[in-house]
Order: sequence, then C-alpha cells, then structure tokens
Amino acid sequence: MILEMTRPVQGGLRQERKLEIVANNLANADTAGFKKDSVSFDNKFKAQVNKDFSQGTLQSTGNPLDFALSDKGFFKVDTAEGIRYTRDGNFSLDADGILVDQNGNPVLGRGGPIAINGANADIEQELSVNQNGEIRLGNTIIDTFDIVTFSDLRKMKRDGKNLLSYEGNTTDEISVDSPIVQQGSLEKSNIHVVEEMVRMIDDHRMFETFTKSMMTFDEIDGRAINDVGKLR
Amino acid sequence: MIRALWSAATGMYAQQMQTDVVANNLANSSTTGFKKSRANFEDLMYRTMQVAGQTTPGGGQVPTGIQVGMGVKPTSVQKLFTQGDYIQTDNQLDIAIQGNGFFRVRHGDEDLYTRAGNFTLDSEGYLTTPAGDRLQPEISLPVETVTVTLQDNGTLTAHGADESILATAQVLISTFVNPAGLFATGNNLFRPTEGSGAATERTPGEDGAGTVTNNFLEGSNVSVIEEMVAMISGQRTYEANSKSIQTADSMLSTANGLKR
Repeated sequence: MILEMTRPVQGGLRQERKLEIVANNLANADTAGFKKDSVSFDNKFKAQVNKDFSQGTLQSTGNPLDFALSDKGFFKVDTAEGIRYTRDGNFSLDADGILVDQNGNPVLGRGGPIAINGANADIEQELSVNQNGEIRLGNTIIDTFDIVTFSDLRKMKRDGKNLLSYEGNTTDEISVDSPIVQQGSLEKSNIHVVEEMVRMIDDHRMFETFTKSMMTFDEIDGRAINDVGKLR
Repeated sequence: MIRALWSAATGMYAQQMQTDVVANNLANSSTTGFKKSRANFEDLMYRTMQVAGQTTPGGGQVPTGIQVGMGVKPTSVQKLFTQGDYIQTDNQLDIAIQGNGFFRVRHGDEDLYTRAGNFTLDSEGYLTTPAGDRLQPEISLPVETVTVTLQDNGTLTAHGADESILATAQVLISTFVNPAGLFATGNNLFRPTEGSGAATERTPGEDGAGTVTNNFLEGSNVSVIEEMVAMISGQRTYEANSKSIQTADSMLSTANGLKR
C-alpha cells in the first residue's frame, strides 16, 4: 500500500523540477543571449533538461560594442578556466583597449584577443563590423570574430555568467564561415513569457492533482487500517 | 521548490534594478551631456544533477544532463557613450564635442572629466562649468570681449567691439581607451579608473578625438520612447517573476495541506 504512494510523490517532484526551470527562465527574461531550458521525461519518467537554442529576437541598441548573432554560432571567450562560448555579445573595452565581455574576459578573434584602441580612434564613428564578423577600424581590418559552433549542442554545459562550456574535445569546434554578426544590436533571451506562464499553471495544477491522489491513497489506507479489521 | 522561490526573487531584484536605471535615465533626459546607463544581466550558477555524456547502467550515454538554473544576476550598469543630440543655444560659451572626448575640469583638488560644455565666466574671467569648476587648461577671456569664436580644432578667439582680436586660446579635449569604465561622480562629472585607462589630452580633430563647436550644447542621449518600453517590459517581467513566487508558495501550501 505504501508503494502506491511513490508514484504521486514522484509525479509531484517532477512538477517541482519543472517549476524550478520555469522560474529560472522567467528570471532570465532580460538576460542577453539567454537560451531557455525545457524539461522532458523519457518513457521511464526520467527527467531531461533540454536547452532550446532557437534564435532570440534582436534588439537594436545603437552601442557600437554590442554584437548579436542572428544565425548559428557562438562567440569565443578566454576565461581563467579555459575557452568558453557565449551568445551574449555585450562587450566592452578594458583599460588596455582589449575587447572583453562584462566579466572582463577577452573575446577571441581568429588572431587571439582583439585590441581596439579607443583613445586613438572614435569608436562610434570608425569601428565597423560586417556580417562576416570582420572588425574594421577606419579602413584597416583588425581581426575577425572567431565564431564557432558544434555538431552536438547537447554537450554544451551551462557555467552561469552567460557562458557555456563544451563537454568534449575542442577539436569538435566547427568554424562558422558566414556567420551573421549584427553590430549595434543585442540578442534578447528566447523565452516567451506567455508560454512560461502556461507551463507554470500546468505545473501548479498537476501538482495539485498529484497531492489529491496522495490524499486518496492515504484515505484508502486509513480505511483499510481502521475499518476493515473493526471488531463489532 | 525553495529553489524556484529564490530564482524568482533574483528575477524580481534584477527587474527592480532595471527600473531604477530607467528612472534615472528618464530623470536626466534633459541634462546636458548626460550619458544613459543600461543594466546588464547574466544567468547565475547552475546546479548540475546529471552530467551529459555520463554512462548509464545499460551501457549507453546520457545525451542531455540535468542542470537547474538558480536565477539571474546583474553584471554591470554600463554607461553608453553614444552621441547625444545637438541643441542650438546661441550662447557663445556653450561648447559641444562632436565625437570622442571629454573636457577636463578642475573640481576641488582633482581633475575630472565632463561632456557638458555649458561654460560660463567666473569673476576672474575664466571659463568654468555652472558648478564653478574651471576648464583645464585654464582659459580666461579679457573683459572687453564681445564675441567669441571657436574653430573645429579648438582654437578659441576673443574679439573686441571693433572685430579686433584680443586673445586666442586652445581648447583641449581628453580621450580614454574605454570611456565606459569611467566612474560617474554625479554633477555631470566622470573620474578616470583602472578600467577606463588614463586620459590622453589631444587637440580636437586629431588622432580620433572629436571636434568642438560653440553655440551648441550636447543634449542627453536618452531616448524617452526606448526608456518607456524598457520600463513597461521591466514591470511586466517583475510581475511574471512574482507569479513564480506565488505558484511556488501555493504548491508549498498544497503540500502542507496533505497532512490533515
């Protein structure tokens, strides 16, 4: 009889897990380059969290150091823990004129870190990046963004800070020949608030259903214990 | 369950910060030389419950792991140094920078930087900001000055009543490797930091420095419509996150109701 309880309990826990994912998606509704998670269950009800790498909408910002990718690929960032990948193209310059992300990690071009000296040039007027990721200051090509992707995106692991790492060999990197880099735009998160709200309602009500069945089993057990063996 | 509560709380906190930044931008939408700010966010850490690629008891591989996110975190509030609109004022001591660079002014005992070129004269005839900070290098105008002209390259000439040249001076502007790294001290002023690099003083128009014009002021670069949209979206996201909290709360209460 107690065994009957495990099913609704597991069901309830599944709804909890789903709500956690929805809450995280909603919390990141304004995080640039954020890709939403969704939960699915296999036929043994084992949970899987899938990252949805669909394109987020682009928001024009007019800031010359904001970049968005409007097709596949990731920017490469050199962190203390190794190479990381990101869709968040919200970059800045550091005191040495190196292009860095918001945590100060250098963004990589095909020739390593990208140096743009802001003291000698008017970034707003002179810095231009074309769709292929070629960075020009005035008429000189400085570098090209190293945009890469992987054949199996399921091996991308989230590290927080808008960074992803790849669980596999770095030789699996596929260089994207013609990425679409948009200067002066940021990719918004790809969540849809309505969708998340519907999921949340679903999770909530399903959770109630499972608790109801727990209560029913409890009642049956109670009857079995107290009523069946009653001496009159 | 508790995780969802806290993830949503970080979301609400982030949106609150977003609204604070928007409110400040709007409040300064007509401040001379004001540069708008933007709050940037990033996802917080993840709790990895199952690693992708792990071997299953059956000998296969787990294709997708389980990582549950813990919410969002503000990374930076970034100043955006895009060009503001020019406003014609017909005041000959109003100077606007077109392009890159800042005016250096003496504030107390330190040199600070500003884009606001609404200068006036102090009692000794020096060009100062409305707060009384003198433009550096100091420029003083003779008392007899009637008109002031300024060339693109910063050559300032004071003319007398009969068009005679009374004095000339050079307006210099300072550039930074990373203007976004400057520390805003308030009063339209910025202080250099480790992040911005040191200032380089330049003649306007040379080596990427902007040019100067008088009779004009640079308005703020705040676009009211954009800020309004950001405010609406911030408010709605705040609401959405509060719904996560309500749902988590209600689920906890249902769970508590199990025990009669």
